[in-house]
Amino acid sequence: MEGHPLALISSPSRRRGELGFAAVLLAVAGLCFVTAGDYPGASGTYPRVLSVLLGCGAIVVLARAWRQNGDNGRVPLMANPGRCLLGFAAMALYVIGIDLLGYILPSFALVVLLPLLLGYRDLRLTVLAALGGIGFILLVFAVILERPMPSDLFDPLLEMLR
Amino acid sequence: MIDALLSALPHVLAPANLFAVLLGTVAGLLVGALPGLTVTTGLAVLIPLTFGMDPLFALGMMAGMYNGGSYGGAIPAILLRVPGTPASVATLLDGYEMTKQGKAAYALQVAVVSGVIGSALSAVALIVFAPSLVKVSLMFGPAEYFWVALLGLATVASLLGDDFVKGLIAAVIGLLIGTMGTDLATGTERYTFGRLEFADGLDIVVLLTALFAVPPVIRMIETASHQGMSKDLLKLRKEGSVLRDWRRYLPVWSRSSVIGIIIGILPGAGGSMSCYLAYNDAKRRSPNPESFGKGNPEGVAASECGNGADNAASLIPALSLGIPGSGVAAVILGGLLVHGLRPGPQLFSDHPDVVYGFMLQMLLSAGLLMLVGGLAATRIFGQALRLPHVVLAPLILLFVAIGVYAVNNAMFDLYLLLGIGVFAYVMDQLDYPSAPIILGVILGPIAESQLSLALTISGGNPLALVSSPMSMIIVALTLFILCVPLWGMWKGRRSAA
Repeated sequence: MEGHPLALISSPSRRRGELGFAAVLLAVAGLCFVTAGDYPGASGTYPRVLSVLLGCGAIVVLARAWRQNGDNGRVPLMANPGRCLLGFAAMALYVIGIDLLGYILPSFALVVLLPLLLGYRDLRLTVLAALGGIGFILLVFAVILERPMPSDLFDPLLEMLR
Repeated sequence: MIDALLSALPHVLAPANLFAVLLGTVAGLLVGALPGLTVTTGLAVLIPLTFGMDPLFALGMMAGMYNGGSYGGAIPAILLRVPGTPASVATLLDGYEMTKQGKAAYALQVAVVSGVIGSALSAVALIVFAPSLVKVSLMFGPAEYFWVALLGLATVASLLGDDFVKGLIAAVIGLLIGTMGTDLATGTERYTFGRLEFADGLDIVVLLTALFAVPPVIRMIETASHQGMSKDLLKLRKEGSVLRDWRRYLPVWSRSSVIGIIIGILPGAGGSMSCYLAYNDAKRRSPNPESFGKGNPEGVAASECGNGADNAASLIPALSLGIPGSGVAAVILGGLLVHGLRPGPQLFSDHPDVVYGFMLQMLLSAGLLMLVGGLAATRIFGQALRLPHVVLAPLILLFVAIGVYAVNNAMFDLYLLLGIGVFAYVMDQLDYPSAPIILGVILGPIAESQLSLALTISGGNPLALVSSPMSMIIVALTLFILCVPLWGMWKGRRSAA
């Protein structure tokens, strides 16, 4: 996996991660505080107090990370940022796929293709796992519990199952 | 009461009614174990199906589903770090750490035995103490509920992790998320951003799944291990028998059961709060509190026992007064009404066979849980861990996606899962604990609404909050819980100096 293109992406340092995340929290606290200003009476006071607390906490973390020096600050935030990005990209494509095509096809593609992209070559197991997992979910959610599923290309088939 | 119990016993032991309890327990385990499906959802699906059936058959299925679902949530929490129910978050803290150490089978064993003990004692409490304990719950008004919620929030001190500031930030994030939606006191919409989906706040199932399921899945993808867990690690008796170690767990079981039963009786306070309080108590009293959150089986025992003990106890005010102790108890009340059984004192006099039969079924289902949960479900679900991690990760995403979608049948929730999932992964990488967020989301709205109600009733007089002896007792308990870790820290520093 070392020669894999995904291994070439470098991770930001933990210190940068701490600084960035604390800055995001500070911005969120500011936004919550300003937004709560429009709420009347106690409806606004309570979230404003919480926003101040969140902002104070974020400032403490920012200050701590800012002062952090030496090797500790250079520790990478992620073990393998390339695969991490692949994971989130796969998740995003999966959700978009469900939205566009329904549940069955994107689920099958996810379980078969993601291990393949990560270097796992036992297609028999991945196809079996995909069919088993999807079959079990359809049996429980669609057939037994009759829960609505995302609108799917295979809707006529699901109707027959019900 | 003895006469009524003896009269109900033959009905409960009738083969059809026994089968109903077994069926309900299996269905409950399934519902609890699947993220996105809760016991409430399972019961809501079940109740219309029971219309026209014999009441004891229908109630038997409900009793089984309640106890089975309550334990079912622990299975994915321990094995996959995916909490099946909000109440299984405290179980996850030590359970998943045990799985990482190769003690998954033992963790599941601890969970099922502790859940059974809690559920059984809770059922006994329901049978024995129902009439007298109702009087205690009647002493609770808004001020007392406000303090109970604060008591629950005080347990956050035990969940903060190694970094106090980050733990506190997580708790405040939870409290802020808890303010989302319509403020019931004023009708003001807070942080809804004009979206109807946020009118009732952020859905707890979406939040739970994003916080606890997404980070480990991404980490599995990052590690890309082609190996699964060894078969040997999943042998239930490999690490010994929990029942043989009963002396170790007895104090945790006793205290957690009492906590779960008391919290269960208090309307609106049950469910997740009992397992957090039980977990906090076990950690506080342990000679090695630092081992909690790092794979201490007593953490799993306390959480699951507290969770199980809450079940039948939440039915005490539900059956006697028609006031549900939890959301699930509220749905069961609906189930009783479907069968023409109106909860209240008359239920006990008009239908003793049914009401005492139902109580016995709660006890029976706790026993069946050991058989179905310990011997069958645990073994079947445990096999999931034998899959290579690169295959297991996308499979978990399949269950997570359908579970999240099933809550509101909305694609919006899946996009929300993705967004919160990224946030949760970064938080996890930076060692921000996730459990305080959940506690804040659950208890924040209770504390805020009860405080507002108490102040409205008293005409804005804050002294009303501490005017009853019950309030004072809960305040003292809260202060005690908050002060113990500070006292420990002070003592530690003094001895170090």
